[in-house]
Amino acid sequence: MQGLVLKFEKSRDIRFIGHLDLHRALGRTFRRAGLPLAYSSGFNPQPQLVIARPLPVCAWGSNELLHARFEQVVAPLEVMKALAKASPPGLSFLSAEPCEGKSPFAEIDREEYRLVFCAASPPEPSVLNVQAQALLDEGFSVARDHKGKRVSLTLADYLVAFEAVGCGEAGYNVSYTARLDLQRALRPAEVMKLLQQLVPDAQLLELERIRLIASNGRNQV
Amino acid sequence: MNKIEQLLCQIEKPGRYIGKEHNAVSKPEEGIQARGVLAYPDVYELGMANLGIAILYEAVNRLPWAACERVYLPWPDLAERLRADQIPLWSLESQRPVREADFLGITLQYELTYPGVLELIDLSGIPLLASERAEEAPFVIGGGPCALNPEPLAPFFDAVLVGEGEEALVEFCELVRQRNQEGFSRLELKRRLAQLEGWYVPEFYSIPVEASGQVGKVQVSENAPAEVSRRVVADLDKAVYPTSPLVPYLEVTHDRAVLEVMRGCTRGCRFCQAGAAYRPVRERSTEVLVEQARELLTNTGAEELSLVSLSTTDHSDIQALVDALLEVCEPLQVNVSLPSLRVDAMDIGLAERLATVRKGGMTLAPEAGTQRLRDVINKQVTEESLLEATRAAFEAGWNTIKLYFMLGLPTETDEDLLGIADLARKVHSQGRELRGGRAQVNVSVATFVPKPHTPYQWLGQIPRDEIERRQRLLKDAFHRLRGVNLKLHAPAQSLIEALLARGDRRLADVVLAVWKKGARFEGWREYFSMQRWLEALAETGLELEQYASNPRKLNERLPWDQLSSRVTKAFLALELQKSEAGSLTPDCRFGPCSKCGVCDSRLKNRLCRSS
Repeated sequence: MQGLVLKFEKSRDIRFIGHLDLHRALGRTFRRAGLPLAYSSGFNPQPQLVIARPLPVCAWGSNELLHARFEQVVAPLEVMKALAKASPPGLSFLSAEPCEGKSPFAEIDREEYRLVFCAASPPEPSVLNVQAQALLDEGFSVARDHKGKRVSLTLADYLVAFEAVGCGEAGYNVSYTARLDLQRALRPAEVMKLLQQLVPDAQLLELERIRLIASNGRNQV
Repeated sequence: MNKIEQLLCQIEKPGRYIGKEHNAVSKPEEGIQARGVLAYPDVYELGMANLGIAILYEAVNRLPWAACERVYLPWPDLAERLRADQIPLWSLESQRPVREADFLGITLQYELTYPGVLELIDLSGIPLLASERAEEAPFVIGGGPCALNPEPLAPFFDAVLVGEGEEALVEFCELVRQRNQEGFSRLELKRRLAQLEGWYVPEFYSIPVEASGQVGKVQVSENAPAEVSRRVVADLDKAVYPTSPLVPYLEVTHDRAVLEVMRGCTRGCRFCQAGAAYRPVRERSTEVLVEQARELLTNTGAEELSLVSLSTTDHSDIQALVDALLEVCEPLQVNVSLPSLRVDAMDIGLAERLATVRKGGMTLAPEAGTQRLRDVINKQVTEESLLEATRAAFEAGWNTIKLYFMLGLPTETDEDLLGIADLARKVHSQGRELRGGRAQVNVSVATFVPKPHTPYQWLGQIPRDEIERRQRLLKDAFHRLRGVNLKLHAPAQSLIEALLARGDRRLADVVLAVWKKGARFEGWREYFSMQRWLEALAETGLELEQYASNPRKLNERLPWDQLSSRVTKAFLALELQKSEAGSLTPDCRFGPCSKCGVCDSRLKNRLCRSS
């Protein structure tokens, strides 16, 4: 059995497609491409495809990662060629590298997002950054329902970087990096709550995951 | 970010409204001389499973000068936002407003979607009434099984296609193209359309209906034919078929590749509208089917290939076909499935060969609980053959058997109903013997709706209190059966189905009123409201019973008599007589011609192997 880690783009066009639907579409793409995917055994065999981290609905990502396992040895270049022909609109594969081991994504511990919001009169980026930092320092937290229980997440525990960079073509740009090595992962909607605390009429327009990061020295898996 | 994108960020399942599926056809504006949108008046996940739309989408998009897009009925959360923000409904491929297309083609799959039809037209920003549409407005056309009696929707459609659409819709597109080039009027297009086989232009037919429900003499204008004959494709091997169908991102109903092995069924079940509406039997040849299967799997990546038709195992070359398909499918780890099975052990054997991985539920449809009633409806199945089939299924490893029946069939007695429970008990005891505690029997009992163009078109549905009494009788009988589950259809929905199926043009006011009261997804139990229908009927002065329950005389004109399924009324009347006598009519594929009237010099049963 051989494994490959593929980098792919879930484009803006298909950002409304959810994680499970994306996973199924990937499986069919590999089948159309005629690639010898390995399947799980059992009553309902599933293709051995693992997406590194799910993307929320409404988000797109240009550097998403996928681990695919094959029954036979396949050349990464041939895989890329076959996938290019079989990919649906909005999904494209950027690279493929052989990988050993079953869990190549275990070391991923951060994710970087760019979000764009609109508001009637947002503050200057430098002001927003100071205000946001102050809120984080005060222990700003969000509540979330989890299996019938109310849990609270303190954003400062998660956000390792937060920067408002001002207005772009689409709206007001913010980039942030969040930790993934804690019990729970921070949701972009929860970062929006931080922003809405400072800019009450802020409305999310765009959400893009820039990259997944492994802090063991490698920028990306 | 445009307004549509902003909306999609705020609603449930936005993936329903973006298109972008694999194999979706998005054509540039340049060179397109006829642009249409095909619509399914229910949610995306159901509409995507519709083979008719897939075939028509392919047929139109094969024309280099025409473009065909799609739209589905938005879920209430989006519909509400569209109205609030005054955004017209868009088609999935180009994201352009539907109202900018040349035509909107809506499929009429079942009666309870009628309010959804109005919702689609209204959300598109198109006037609801055909008579109020301006010259530049899209033509609203309909088709599908309910087109055999489109009268309750007649005022909302510019034209309705009766029968099969792959050739007829292309001819319609030709007319649209001519109109766009020559600039003739909307009325002129309808005049020309009415001359084409299968096209019904309701406004050319003035159909008086008395308060009693009696249909008067029909006045036909604009030189339209007095009777519109169902359109039939003679040879399926030569017909267009989508071997590169859409592959949805979302999980949809029947999410698999579909191979249409044949069309039509001549078994002659007397309650079955499809049996009349798709005659004659036309099989695709094994060679064509195998090639189509290869292409389908290459172009979709599907994990399952489903062989569809009204009765797939009736295909005259089914054994060779299955052998050939398994050769194609097994190396690709593709399961082949048969969604409809006849009730005999041979079919189970076939299904067993195909079910290589998982054995879900095996579905069989005896329809009635006693031999007497099965003879009445011409369902040529014996209890012995049913029990042989279920035994074979349990022996082959199936744990769950689903049995479909109907309640309220003509001449039905309490004994027939108790026969359903008795049959279920026998099947379950077989299961206990062969599968032990894992054996399960699920029994689904629908309420019979007498449909137009069947031998029972003159009969009424049993009244609501009688439906409820018979359902109680069944519940009591099943109460004592452990390991057998009984599922009953909601009587109210069946009554409305009968109302609309047997309705005339006066019901358009009821459909309009019920839509104004908020009806949208009436096929969904959680959204259906009988109260709305009763109020709408009361407001329009019409009676549910008059339509649903009252029988009609054999010699009276029926509201749908200007439309012909090609099966003659004389044949249907004779079948009704034979039904009352419990007399059988054999399948004309294996016995003598039943003289239904469908075959002629062009149309006849086309079997792959004549044995």
